[in-house]
Amino acid sequence: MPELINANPTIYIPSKTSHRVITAKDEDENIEDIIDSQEVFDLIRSISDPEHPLTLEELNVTQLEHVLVDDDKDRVKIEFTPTIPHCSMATLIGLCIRVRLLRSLPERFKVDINVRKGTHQSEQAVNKQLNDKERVAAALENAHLLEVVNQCLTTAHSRSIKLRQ
Amino acid sequence: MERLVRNYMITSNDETESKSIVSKIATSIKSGQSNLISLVQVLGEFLTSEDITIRARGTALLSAVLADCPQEQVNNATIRVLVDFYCERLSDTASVPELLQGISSLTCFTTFHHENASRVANSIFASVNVQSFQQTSRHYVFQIFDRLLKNHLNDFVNGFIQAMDGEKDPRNLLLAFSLVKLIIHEFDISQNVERLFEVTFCYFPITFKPPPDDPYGITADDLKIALRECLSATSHFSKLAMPLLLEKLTSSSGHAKKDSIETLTECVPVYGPDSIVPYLEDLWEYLRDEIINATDDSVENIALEAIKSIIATLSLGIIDHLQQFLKTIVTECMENLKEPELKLAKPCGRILMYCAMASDLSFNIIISATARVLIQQYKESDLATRKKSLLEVLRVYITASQNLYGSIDKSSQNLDGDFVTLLLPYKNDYLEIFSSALYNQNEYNELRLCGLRGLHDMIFLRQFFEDNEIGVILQYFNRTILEETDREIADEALKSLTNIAKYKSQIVLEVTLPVFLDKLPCNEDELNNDNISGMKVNYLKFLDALSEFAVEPILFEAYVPQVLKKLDFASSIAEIEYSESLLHSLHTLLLKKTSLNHSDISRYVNSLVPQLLTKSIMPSLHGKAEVNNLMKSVFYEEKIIKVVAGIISVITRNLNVSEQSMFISHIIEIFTKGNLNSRYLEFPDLDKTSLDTTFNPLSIESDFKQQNLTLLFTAAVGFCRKEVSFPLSNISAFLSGLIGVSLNTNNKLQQHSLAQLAASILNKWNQVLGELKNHFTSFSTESENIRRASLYIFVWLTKALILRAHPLSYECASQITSQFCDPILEKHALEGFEILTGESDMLNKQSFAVIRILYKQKFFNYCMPKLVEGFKVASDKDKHNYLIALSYLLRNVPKQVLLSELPPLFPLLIHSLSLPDAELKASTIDTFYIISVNASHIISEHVSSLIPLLLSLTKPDHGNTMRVRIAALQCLSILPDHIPFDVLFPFKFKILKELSTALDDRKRLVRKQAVDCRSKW
Repeated sequence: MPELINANPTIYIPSKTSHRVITAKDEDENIEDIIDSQEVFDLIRSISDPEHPLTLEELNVTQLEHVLVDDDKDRVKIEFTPTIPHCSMATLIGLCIRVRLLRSLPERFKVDINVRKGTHQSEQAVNKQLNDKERVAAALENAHLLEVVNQCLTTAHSRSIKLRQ
Repeated sequence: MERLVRNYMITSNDETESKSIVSKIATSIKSGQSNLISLVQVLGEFLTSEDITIRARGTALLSAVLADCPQEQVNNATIRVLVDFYCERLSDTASVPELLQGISSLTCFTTFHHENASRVANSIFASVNVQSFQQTSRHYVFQIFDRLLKNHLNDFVNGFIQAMDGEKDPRNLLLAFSLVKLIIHEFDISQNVERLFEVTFCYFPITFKPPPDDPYGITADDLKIALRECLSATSHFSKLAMPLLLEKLTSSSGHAKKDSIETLTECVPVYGPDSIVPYLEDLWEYLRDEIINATDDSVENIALEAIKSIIATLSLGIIDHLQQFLKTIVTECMENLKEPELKLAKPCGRILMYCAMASDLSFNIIISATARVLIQQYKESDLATRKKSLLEVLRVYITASQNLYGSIDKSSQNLDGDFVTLLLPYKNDYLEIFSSALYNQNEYNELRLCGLRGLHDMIFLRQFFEDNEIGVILQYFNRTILEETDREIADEALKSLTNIAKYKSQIVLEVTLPVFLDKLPCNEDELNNDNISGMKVNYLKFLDALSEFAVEPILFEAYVPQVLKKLDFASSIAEIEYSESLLHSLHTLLLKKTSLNHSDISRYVNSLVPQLLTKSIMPSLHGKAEVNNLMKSVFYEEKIIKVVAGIISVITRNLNVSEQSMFISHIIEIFTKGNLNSRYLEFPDLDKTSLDTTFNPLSIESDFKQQNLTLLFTAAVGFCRKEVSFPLSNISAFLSGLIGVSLNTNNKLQQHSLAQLAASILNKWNQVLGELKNHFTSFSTESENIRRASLYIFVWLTKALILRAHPLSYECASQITSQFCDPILEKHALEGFEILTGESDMLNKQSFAVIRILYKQKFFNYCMPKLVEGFKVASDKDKHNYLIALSYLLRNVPKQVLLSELPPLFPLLIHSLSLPDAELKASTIDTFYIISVNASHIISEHVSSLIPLLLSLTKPDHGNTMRVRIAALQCLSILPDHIPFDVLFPFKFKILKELSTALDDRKRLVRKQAVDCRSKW
């Protein structure tokens, strides 16, 4: 195994309160549920880190507070925090989030994905890459890269219902 | 030569003379002047002599000469002749001692071959009764065996090794491995260690993958385990195996790595401490890395097991090595634990746990090296996360101690009484820090939970706490459950308490039960206060807790009278909810006890049941004349009666035949004859006179309140075993009576209850069915109400027959389906059909109903064509009724039947997806779901029609309810798992595109399913 960029990251225990409890309201046909930040966060929280068998939530890369959703204006804004400032995986992680949302959100949404301010040394370069449609499309043409992304997304459906102890 | 032989024969008693002759003959043979053959020829006449002493003497000479005979004089042919000769003669009992001596000499020759060996062994087994000879002869026998085993099995082993070398077939290897193990155990392999090792180790690690259609059922694991058993069969392998295993540990293949670690774990105890000492450092470094960087739990666990095995083995050897090794481990772990919030804290804690678990000695070393330091560190740190990590590490020692020194829940462990945990010196420290952690005011839940779990685990340690100390801890738990506002902690505390109650019921009875009972209000003020203070209803919380832990017999016994007391109070002020909760708690506990097979339940038929009956019957006896609003009772309420019925049915079901017979005769006496004087009930004598109504619950004229009590009668009678002889002489008459009441009563509750009771009686006891049909034909004429009632009863009676697979039941069922076209009864007929196909509370295994095997299949086979037929001829308006009935049928039929009957139904099912009825659609989609999982080939043929339909059902159109949309999405998302890619590929893009509508569904649950479905595709 090649040397890991961050061999020993800090693990955070996912807060247990952050789960949506299904209420009678959710089951009622006549009430419309708007897409909110919890829902979007649920979509991305269990994406695996490319380096570790841990989820982005466990590594504190994504946090509920940094997911902003405006259902009416069709905007989603996500900020994520790389584990260390020189993390070369930041772009890849961003790409995974991007792909996940491309596949999971209605088309009407415009999604911005940014590195959280001041948490990465080449913040702007990463942001530029992640929010440029052409570049994202080009990256996904790369079969190898797509495979890595799909690999990271295999755990995404668990929505933080624990797979491992 | 001849002369010498004759001399020998004559000098029968002179030992020295004989010896000198023998040596002379031997010398002449050695020098080549003579040979063995000529000796035998000369001896011939003596060896065949009639006189036993002469025969023996001749044999003795030959044997004696053989003993001195040089190797080169005896060639293959000679030895074969000699062996044959000796073996044949063995049946001549008189000369056996001499013969044995000769055989013993023969076995020493190099030309003595394998086939000779087996010949000798067989002859001895067949002809010689060893124990009937004197010592010298017996000694020869054992000598012979010894030589045979030593020299000739080697040949076998050699041969075996050659034969096995290069074997590739898994079936043969499996057998070969087990032979290797046998050889190692049974034979002396010291000569062949290296070759045997090579021929087995070359298979390590196993890389076998069974072929896809695997005809032999041999898995890689079978081979791995067989090979592992070979390698760990002898300590002879240690020198050869250890370096190789170590090398394989660094293998990059995950499987090889795992296999090596597991093999190591098995081998180390056999190889012994000395053989592993040289490799300790490497082993530790390697295993440590494996644990700390583990990518999945299984690797971590096996690596930990390996460490445990190593330490356990070391503990048997020189203590210095053990200390040295543990010192390395402890130093490294403690270094990592200085920063315990990092992720290394957990693996380090686990390493320490497995080290401690390995042996008494290692436990001692680890504990004394670390516990104090950790406790100190814990006390000094302020950071909650850090404290938590340290506490977790301290807690692992409790787990280790449970493992090593036993815990109270495994009584079968035959551990020594004075094998006491070495955690004992730290008891007070532990108690202090864990309980303070639980009561830490700081908000960090994880820390508090850890404290709680630690206390729980400690109680389970064998010979650790005194009972009074457990009492103190239980008080902590009480407080936590009663006062804690955080649900998670309170729940965990309750779980712990329930666990402890199983093994320490006495202490829980003394310490906990009274506290909780005390909290249940028993007068009006308390109840009011209860409602005001804090949350809505506090008593519910306490009752829930009690329903959890008061399961154990002695706790339950103490609990029941208390509940009844509170019930009296609640009933007296007509507090319905409280009464219901109290009764409900009893019901829950009884159900739990049933699932745990407690034997004390039947006891309550004579205490709890009569009391409840009395309480229920009493208030119903006050007639209408009594001022109704003055007389309030909770037992007028249907839902209370339902819970009481539940309690009675659980208790009844736990009685044996004779107990049930007794109970039923009481019940019949009370309910059918209104006899309340029975000693079974506990009416105070005074009351009887003041009552102004008789008790007649099974009548149409009675008051509603009395009629409701029919439920109790049904609960008792319906749960009887069929072996109980029914105490009424004329069952048919009784049954008709019941049906008559049920038909004409205005009380729905009574009607349903009686219908079910009648069904139960019909199912178990009655063989006479004549009247049944009459009842049904009547319902076409009378008023709507009666028709409905009779349909309902008819459905239940039919169900009773279906379970018995009675021929009449089919006729009845088709009567019911024929009502699908009746404008008034269609809905009810459909509901009835659902009752027929579904499971019920009343007629099932628990209530001892007569249930024939395959009744479902038979019913299905009968109904299915009928329904399809009915569908074809029905008018459009009624068509969907048949489809709905069909979906009920499909839902309840066993899968195998479903799958075989399916193909002709498929078009019908697809058709039902286009009907507007949501319930029908959802249930049909569920059917498709089952088919996709179990018989994907059928779906494969129809994907082109099915997929577009399913997609249209995911759209939020009218008639596609949430349930339909979700079901459709679920069904779509399992297709890729079961149906070949090439079949589905043409649809992929269409599906991905159309699913985007579902992604924007207005309901969140639908969106969630859509996301999952889309990512699948």
